[in-house]
Amino acid sequence: MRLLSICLSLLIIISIGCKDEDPIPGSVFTDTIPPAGTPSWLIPSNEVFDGGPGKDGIPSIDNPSFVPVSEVTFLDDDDLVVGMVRNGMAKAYPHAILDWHEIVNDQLANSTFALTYCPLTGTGIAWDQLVDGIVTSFGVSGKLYNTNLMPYDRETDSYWSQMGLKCVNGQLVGAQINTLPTIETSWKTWKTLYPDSRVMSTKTGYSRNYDVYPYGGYKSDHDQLIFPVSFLDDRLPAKERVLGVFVEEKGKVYSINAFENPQVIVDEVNGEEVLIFGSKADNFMVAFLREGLEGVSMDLSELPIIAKSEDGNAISISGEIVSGPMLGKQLASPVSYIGFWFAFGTFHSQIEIFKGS
Amino acid sequence: MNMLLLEMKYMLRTSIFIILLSQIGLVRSQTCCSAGAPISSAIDVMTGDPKALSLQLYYEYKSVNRLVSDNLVLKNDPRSRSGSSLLFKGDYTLSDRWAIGLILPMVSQRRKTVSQTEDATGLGDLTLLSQYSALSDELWQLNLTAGVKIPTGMDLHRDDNEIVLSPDMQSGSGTYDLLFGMGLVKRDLLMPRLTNQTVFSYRHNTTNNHFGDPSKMKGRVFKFGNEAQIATSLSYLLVFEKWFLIPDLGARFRTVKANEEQGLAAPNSGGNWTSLLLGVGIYPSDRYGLRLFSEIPLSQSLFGLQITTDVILGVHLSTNFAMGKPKNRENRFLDSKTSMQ
Repeated sequence: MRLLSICLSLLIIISIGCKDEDPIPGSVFTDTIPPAGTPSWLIPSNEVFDGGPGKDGIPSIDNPSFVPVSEVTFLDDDDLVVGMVRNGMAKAYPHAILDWHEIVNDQLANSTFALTYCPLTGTGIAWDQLVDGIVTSFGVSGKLYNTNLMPYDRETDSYWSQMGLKCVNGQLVGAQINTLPTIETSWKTWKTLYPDSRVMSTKTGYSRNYDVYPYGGYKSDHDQLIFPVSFLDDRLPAKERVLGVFVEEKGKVYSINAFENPQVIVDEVNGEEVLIFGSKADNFMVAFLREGLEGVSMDLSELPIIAKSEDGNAISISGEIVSGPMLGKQLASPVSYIGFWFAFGTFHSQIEIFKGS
Repeated sequence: MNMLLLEMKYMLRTSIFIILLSQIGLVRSQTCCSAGAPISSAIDVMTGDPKALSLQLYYEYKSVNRLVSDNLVLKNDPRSRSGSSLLFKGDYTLSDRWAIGLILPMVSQRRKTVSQTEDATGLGDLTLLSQYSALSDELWQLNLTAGVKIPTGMDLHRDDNEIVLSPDMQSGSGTYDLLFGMGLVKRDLLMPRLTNQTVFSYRHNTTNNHFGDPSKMKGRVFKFGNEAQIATSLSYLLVFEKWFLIPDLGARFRTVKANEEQGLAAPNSGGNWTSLLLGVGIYPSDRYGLRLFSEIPLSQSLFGLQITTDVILGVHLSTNFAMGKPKNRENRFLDSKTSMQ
């Protein structure tokens, strides 16, 4: 009798544990596991990884506040900022804040944009918020593709690839993003370039430890990638900072080490002549289309002017001709942004590396 | 009158026995990030009368809403986590020295942000345990436990877009892991009916080389950090007519190494936790017990930025069946007689 009661108890307990266990789609107990690259995704869905915090678990900043350069006390000279310059107005977005929020929805002059920043690929790219005729803000989806940020748009809930610059899942799948030019440099250089600019404040509405880099030794450890990538190109050290310059689909990267001595590189990307300006000491690299400028040489004596052409055009770091025959002209920018080398090598197979002239 | 006294003594002996069972909850997992459910929990199995079977059911709820950067508690976190687990545990004593057990959990995880709520519920990882009682007398008991966690749990829960959720949202880890434990019990500590139990446990985890990829060709190389913990508690037996009440109070220190991603330590994982343990057990008969327990973090020193547990609440039901000849009953009676005074 006792044995019978034991058996009955066991059966009851086991049945309680099992009877409500519905098969979960995609589990090992069903045959409905979606194959890689299902039609709803432009990229292999099995290479999209859940970062852990969840959608909006890393909060974007949608109403940033700014302070004058003179009031900034939380940055060291070597700290990096991503700068935006439009119609003579300038704003800086410190990495120290972007590391914790990844996306800032903001506006400058007449432009509305989302400054997207991925701490794991080191890429800061300003996205035009006008997408497919829709103005939208962006949030952090919590997903990563090739260990790179995947924003989502709040109008259609579509998922995007930051470095892919396109929508990869959802209603807007296939839509392209337009970028706006940025200037990534050190705080020391920025405040010299634009002492009257506004700097995003740590009063973000969130209590965060902005003095602390939240990824430990990640940005200097060339061996550490937190999430898998589809391909790892080891032609350069993984975390070396490079400027990627793209004309349509084709691109080329320029290492910061190519600018040990400040210089302007006249080069060609996908058949288009470009000017690449850089200085490792001042920690900046920017790119513009050449647009007929001849004899351009670096001149950092009158920042934000960084170069002059042989016929007397003075070129600012934002690409504006501030004096000379072409006064007032804004040089066109190819799609360009700075990031860790490995990310460019992963996203753009066999991308060309500038080897020096 | 003598018969009544003997019956009460027998019940008391049984209740002391149940005290040990109820203390199994000492070794419970603390964070939300322990896929496979309370993996370290309940690694004790019972020792007592030979051929005795114990069946237990745990329910545990964890609220994981404390965002910490190193030692600094941050505010305004848009996310929250919670988890609950229903855990079935069965123990069987083979002899005076040896016992075996199994743990089968059902795990439910919830991740909530301002824009999305995601749930993942499923079978967790099965754990098989064996225990050797190195010392067992009227006042002291020393148990050594070893076990293996088998990847029976689901580790492919997906979100609405069919993307595999992160490892800490899964019901299982997809790995075989090893568990080791040592439990020391001191009865009648300083005074009759006061018992101290101290449990040390260590969990050695292995690497899932293809997390998230059912074809096992690619995927994410992931390993939960190994963890060690020590918990100690005091419990006191209160006797009321034919039932017993056992409140307990304790503390736990837990240290966890960082998780590993792609073979290297992942930032924002691992650390040290200290927490307060509170519980009360009610035993209306010699066969059945009900215990309510909670765990409240006292301090933590974490690596990087982490969301961590702010409270654990649980219920533990137990029943046992003696199928063989109880051991040392007479001696226990004498002991319980002392305890009843």
